[in-house]
Amino acid sequence: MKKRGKMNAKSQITIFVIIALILVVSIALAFVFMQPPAAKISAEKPDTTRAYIADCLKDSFEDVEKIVISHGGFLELTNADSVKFSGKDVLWLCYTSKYEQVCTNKHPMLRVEIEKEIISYVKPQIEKCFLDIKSQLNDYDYKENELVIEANILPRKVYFNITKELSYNIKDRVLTLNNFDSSLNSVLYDFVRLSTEVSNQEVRGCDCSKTCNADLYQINKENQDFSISKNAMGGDGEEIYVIKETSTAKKFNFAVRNCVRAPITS
Amino acid sequence: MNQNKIISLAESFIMLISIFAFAFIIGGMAIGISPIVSAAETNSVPSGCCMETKEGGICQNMNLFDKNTCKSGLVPTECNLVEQCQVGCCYDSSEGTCSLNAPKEKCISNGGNWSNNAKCDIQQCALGCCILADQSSITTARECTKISRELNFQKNFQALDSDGTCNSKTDLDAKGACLTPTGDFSGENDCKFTTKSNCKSGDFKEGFLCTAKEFKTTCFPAKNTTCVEGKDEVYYTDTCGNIANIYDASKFNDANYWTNIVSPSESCSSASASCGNCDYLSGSVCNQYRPGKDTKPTFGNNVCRDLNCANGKKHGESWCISDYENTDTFGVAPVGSRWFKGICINGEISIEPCADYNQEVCIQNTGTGDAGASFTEAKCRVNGWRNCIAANDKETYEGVKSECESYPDDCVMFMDIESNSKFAGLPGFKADVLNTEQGNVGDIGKDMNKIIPWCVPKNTPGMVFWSTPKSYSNTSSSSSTSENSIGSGGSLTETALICSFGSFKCVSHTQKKPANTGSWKDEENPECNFNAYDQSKQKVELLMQGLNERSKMLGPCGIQVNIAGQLGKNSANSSVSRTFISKDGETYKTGGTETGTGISVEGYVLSEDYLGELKNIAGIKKMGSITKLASAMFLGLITGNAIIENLPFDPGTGTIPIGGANPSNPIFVTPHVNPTPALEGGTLTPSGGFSMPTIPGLVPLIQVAGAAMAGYQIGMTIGKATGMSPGRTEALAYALGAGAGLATAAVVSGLMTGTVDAATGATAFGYTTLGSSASAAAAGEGLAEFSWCWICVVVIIIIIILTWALTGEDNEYYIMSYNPGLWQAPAKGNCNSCNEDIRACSEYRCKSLGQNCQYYNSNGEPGWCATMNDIWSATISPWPEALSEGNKYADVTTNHFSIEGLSNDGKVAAWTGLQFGIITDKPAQCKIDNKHTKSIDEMSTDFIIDTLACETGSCSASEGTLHKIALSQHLGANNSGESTLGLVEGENNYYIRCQNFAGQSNEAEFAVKIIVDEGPDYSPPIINSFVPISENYLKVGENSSSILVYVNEPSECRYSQNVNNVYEEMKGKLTCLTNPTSAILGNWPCYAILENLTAGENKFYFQCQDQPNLLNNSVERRNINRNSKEYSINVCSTGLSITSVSPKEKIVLGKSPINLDVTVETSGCIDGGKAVCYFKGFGNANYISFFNTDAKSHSQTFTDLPAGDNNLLIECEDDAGNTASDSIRVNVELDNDAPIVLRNYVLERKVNIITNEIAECKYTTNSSIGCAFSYEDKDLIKMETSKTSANLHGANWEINKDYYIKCMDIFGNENIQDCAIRLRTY
Repeated sequence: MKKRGKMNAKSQITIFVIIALILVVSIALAFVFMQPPAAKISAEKPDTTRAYIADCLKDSFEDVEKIVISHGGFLELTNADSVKFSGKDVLWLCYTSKYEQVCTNKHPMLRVEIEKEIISYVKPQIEKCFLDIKSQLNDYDYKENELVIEANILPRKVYFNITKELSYNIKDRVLTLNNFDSSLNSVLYDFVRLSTEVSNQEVRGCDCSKTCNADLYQINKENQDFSISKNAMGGDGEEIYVIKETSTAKKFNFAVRNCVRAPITS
Repeated sequence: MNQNKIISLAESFIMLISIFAFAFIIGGMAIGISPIVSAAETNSVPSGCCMETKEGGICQNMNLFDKNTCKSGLVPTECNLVEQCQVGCCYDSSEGTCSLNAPKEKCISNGGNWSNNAKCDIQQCALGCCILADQSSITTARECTKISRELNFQKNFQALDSDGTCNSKTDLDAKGACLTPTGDFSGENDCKFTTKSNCKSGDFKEGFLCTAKEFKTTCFPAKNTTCVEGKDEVYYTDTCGNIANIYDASKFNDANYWTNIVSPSESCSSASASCGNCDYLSGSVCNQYRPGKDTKPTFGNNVCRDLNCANGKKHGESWCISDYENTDTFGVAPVGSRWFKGICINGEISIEPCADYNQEVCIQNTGTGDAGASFTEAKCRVNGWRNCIAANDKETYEGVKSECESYPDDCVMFMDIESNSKFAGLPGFKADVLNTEQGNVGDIGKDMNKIIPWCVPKNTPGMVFWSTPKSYSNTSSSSSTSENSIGSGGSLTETALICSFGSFKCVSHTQKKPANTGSWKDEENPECNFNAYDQSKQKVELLMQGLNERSKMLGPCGIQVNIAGQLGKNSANSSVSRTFISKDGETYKTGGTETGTGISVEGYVLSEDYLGELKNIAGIKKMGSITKLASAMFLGLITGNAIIENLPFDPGTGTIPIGGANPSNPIFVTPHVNPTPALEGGTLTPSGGFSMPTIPGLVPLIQVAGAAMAGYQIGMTIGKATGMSPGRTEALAYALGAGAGLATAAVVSGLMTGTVDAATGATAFGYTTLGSSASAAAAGEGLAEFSWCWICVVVIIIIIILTWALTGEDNEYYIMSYNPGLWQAPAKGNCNSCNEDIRACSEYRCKSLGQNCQYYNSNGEPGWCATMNDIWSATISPWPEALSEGNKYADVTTNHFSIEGLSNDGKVAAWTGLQFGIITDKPAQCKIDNKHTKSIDEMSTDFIIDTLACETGSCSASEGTLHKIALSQHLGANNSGESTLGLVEGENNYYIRCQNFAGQSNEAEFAVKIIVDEGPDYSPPIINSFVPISENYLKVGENSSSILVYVNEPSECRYSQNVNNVYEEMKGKLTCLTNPTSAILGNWPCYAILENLTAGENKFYFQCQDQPNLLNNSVERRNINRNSKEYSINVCSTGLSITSVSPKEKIVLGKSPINLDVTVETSGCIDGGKAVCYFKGFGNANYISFFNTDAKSHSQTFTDLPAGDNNLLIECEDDAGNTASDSIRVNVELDNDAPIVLRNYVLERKVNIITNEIAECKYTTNSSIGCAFSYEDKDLIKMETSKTSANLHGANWEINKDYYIKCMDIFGNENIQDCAIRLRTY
């Protein structure tokens, strides 16, 4: 019994050790694989640095684009700026709180405002990416100056002008990088263009004694890649416009309250 | 104690707390019931501008109560006075975009350029077309530069199209072949010839046809043609139904002609049977081929039809059609007549009726068209005949004339019609005599003609004249006799009333004077006495004509002709009655006797010449000469009520009392045969003797007079007792009175001289009562007493004789009473002529033809006019157009025909659906059976009455005369479905009966024989139709739709969405009725719900497999239509919206009737917004369709708005079911009153008046005119209206003048009957 008991104890210890090893290795492996992929930056290959920033920008922009599109161009909307539609906040693009009154264009420079929104979201992300670069190139006498980002919403794309100069020494020479400009495909330009057009048509030639509407039939006809539709919210005369890019099904929502007929009071 | 202490403390605490709590609650309540803020207080609440509200509003005016909703504090001023809140145009100079109505601050803070032009009407924001390869968008010039640069295009910025789009720049409307793979791995393509914009998922080949061989499509050239909406030309269609090039028979085999689009200018040059290059400008346009009328095209069933019509009328021209030629002559419209309007459109003549009963008349204008040719336009307008009748409610001719001339289009003074001048001066036609004195003799007959219809309608109205107004109908008829609607003939009561206005009574007077020795002579009104002593004076024939002429202008009254040119049944002298009042005062009426002599109306008749003229003057256009072309469109306008309601009508006499006269005793006449009626009957009875007067000389005079009176009375008594005429009695009374007077004078003179015994003399005067012989006895005694005075006796006798011979008069009166009565239709007429005419039949027209005519409208209007004896069964003949292709009718006789196939043996092909039809000569319901039956009720299957065929113009028969039936082998011999009968291999016999509009059916069966060929079923199913039809629309948001598919044989059907799969791979299955008896006119229905529909076009492909009764292992024997039947359904991406309503709000102040034109514009997914709009309001409780609608623009004219605040609700709906609504508000304040003078005074040598409203005034000082002037008359003096007040008017003051002043307000209300004021200066 004793012999047997000793053997059992050793066996148990062995087993416990093996299990412990497996656990340790597993945890180590999990730790290794769950870490964000380290930037594969090669100090000798400056393009890898640019590519890293480009990837970083792309990820960041895709996130922000998704957010701003669903909110009419803004990252966050307060109750004052928006109306609820299908559980989401939708931006007032043209609004009047009165009855029988033509709405005022609340965002006449919507493109500029969206560009600002994009920068406000993207810039911290890019800065973080540059920090990663810095951490990897610290051994190379890394130097950098301030990051400046401009975003330009252009037809079929958003162009990012990223100004930041960084330099490091490698093989006794100083390598300086200062061009991180990047262009990303986007339909934001058309969303802005079409929403502005709809908003303008709501106002153009509008006399509240008549019905003021955008000619969606014609706009749809002229913009075959998009489908523009309007949903009347009921309630207090709100109207939600949805611009859908047919190929990607991306939807840009905005709201208008224009020339609302006064409720009949008894 | 401690416990009590604690409890006490607790209670005190609770009480204290309660006090505060209560006070708090009360305080709270006090706050909650603060006084309601008055309007004045509300106005005093400070307000200001909120730059940005918490709800997102920018620059909103609000008061302090709402300031919590403002993000920041209120700016204490109006927002339009806050610089940052100014709205204008925000221009993005970088991108070139513009934002309208943009706040200044918001724009500038984001780098925009702001300008004070809210609509952006600035050069930088001018829009144009930015063209990028084959696409374009509307942009500013700067925006275009930016886009072009970014997308590497050369900038191409052009002006917008005239419609504000860039459609012409983008070629989106370019046409071509849209290819989509068939999906059956054959490498072939399905093809649709469409626009680039509609070819979203396919491969678009611009400029190519679907028959281009290089694209390997499933479509091939075909010899079919079609007309294309919006195009003039005839086009080929391919086997897929796509439009190809212009039809050119010579190029059918030219492959190139079936490859590319060829423009009209490069196509065959002139329209012909082989060329479909029609041209609207040259006068032809594509239309369906009409056998017998058009030249048959080499291929297809469409031709270039001449736009102008065969009758010489040009395209678009319209003209009036009437029942008679002489339409410009007033009052000749025959009974039953109606106006119609002919219209020539696209070479087709259509006939539209104006309202029936002549309640509308057609007016026509001839202008100048192209090349100086005349061009006529016609329209129906309301016949305002009621105004004419009402105008006669005046006592004088001039009064009627003044009113009558207010309606110059509708009314005319009878005496102003040139041909009627011959009646002037006749009783009843004297313009210078009061109505009350027309036809009278002194008090006899005075007032009996109070109303004389001086004013008559120019266009004689039609009215109900028959006693059974309801037509033989199970349904309501548009020609119903309900009152108050245009197209209605009113009621028999109203007609009788109208006709009674034409009645006239005339008293003619003859006299013999002295009564005993004179001769009879005509006195007053000999014109209306056919028995006048001087025949040259009687004008009875002329008078009768005049009275009839006048009566027949009022309606169906008196003697006139109908639309067939026949006189009415009452064209004899039944309109006249006579009353004779003899010299002795006895009254005899027509038909009575006077010592054996009846009062004849002989001579009171219209001459044959006149009656002949009645038939000829109108120039009747005979009916039945032209076959009916088009169905009528009824115009439902509303007219006012009958002018007089609720007057008692005596159906026995057909009269209504006028002017208070008693209809049963129309004339009260007390013959004035005794000029001293007070003495008649000897009632002068001195109550007792009288004492002698004491005045010398007076007593003898009284004695003489008393004797004369006594003699007179004795004479009257004798005359009456012996039956003398009033005149002779009168003469005798005078004679005896004179004799008695003379005798008394002689006696009195004797007494005075003392030669007469006083007592005797007293006896001579001793009568106390005048008995029958008192006077004679007294005279005799006197003469006896004075016998010595024989000379006196002789003189007295002579005087008596002379007096008897020379005094007294006899009078006789004839009273002619004319009552035109209601017109009566001829006893017999040709009823059928009403049905065969180009002019639609109606109850009024039918009834006018004859009393034997009945109107049947069970099948709707127009109905059928026939006699009760004429409603025998319908005749039956084959209907060629209804027969299925590949067959023909043969052996056609009056009681049977055969149907044969085109093969030599004449057999009908097996297993092919067969349809045939019959035509009945009159509207009927037909049944068919394949076995003999005894009556139509026993027959199994109904024919379908085809109405569509006539609507599309492919038939020439009346509605209800075309019938069709389907036969199918799939039913077998003993089965039948709805309008479907079984058919078997070999000989088939069918038997038909038809029941006509009046319920009569043919006793003998009509037979049809068919021999069907033998053979197996190799025919694939044919999908004949979809319900709803292909290419219809669903409303926005819908994603499913049910569909019925009709197949020509029992089948199982499947469908695929978007991809044209083979039958076996089609996922969608339909539920099909495969029982043979489920057939509906030879088709079996299948049902499905199409789901997952998306906005835009959704395509489906259907295939069917026949013989579902076969086992699965017999699948190779089952036929499938491998060429899918395509079906598309469109889901609207946008709903319907009302883009404009005009007017939206309106306040109208004016005189009734107030007119209003309402226009509505809609936009939406079907044809840009085509919809039907309805309105409710202005007194209508239900929604009524706009007059002009079923388009993008809708309009409605209201002609007499009710007063008050009116809300008009508008609802529009398109074919997809999308709806939109709106409303308008119209406040109408009516002012129908003439101005009233509130005050008058003289100041500064001016006569001043103040009116109660803005007006202008005129006056005359001519007392002979007085107030009998119209405001529009010339020679009136206009009063000067004050510059400071339009209510103050002045005129120069002149002493001792009468000022007759009338005023008119700004709406045209004027003082008509009387002056606004009459003033006299002194």
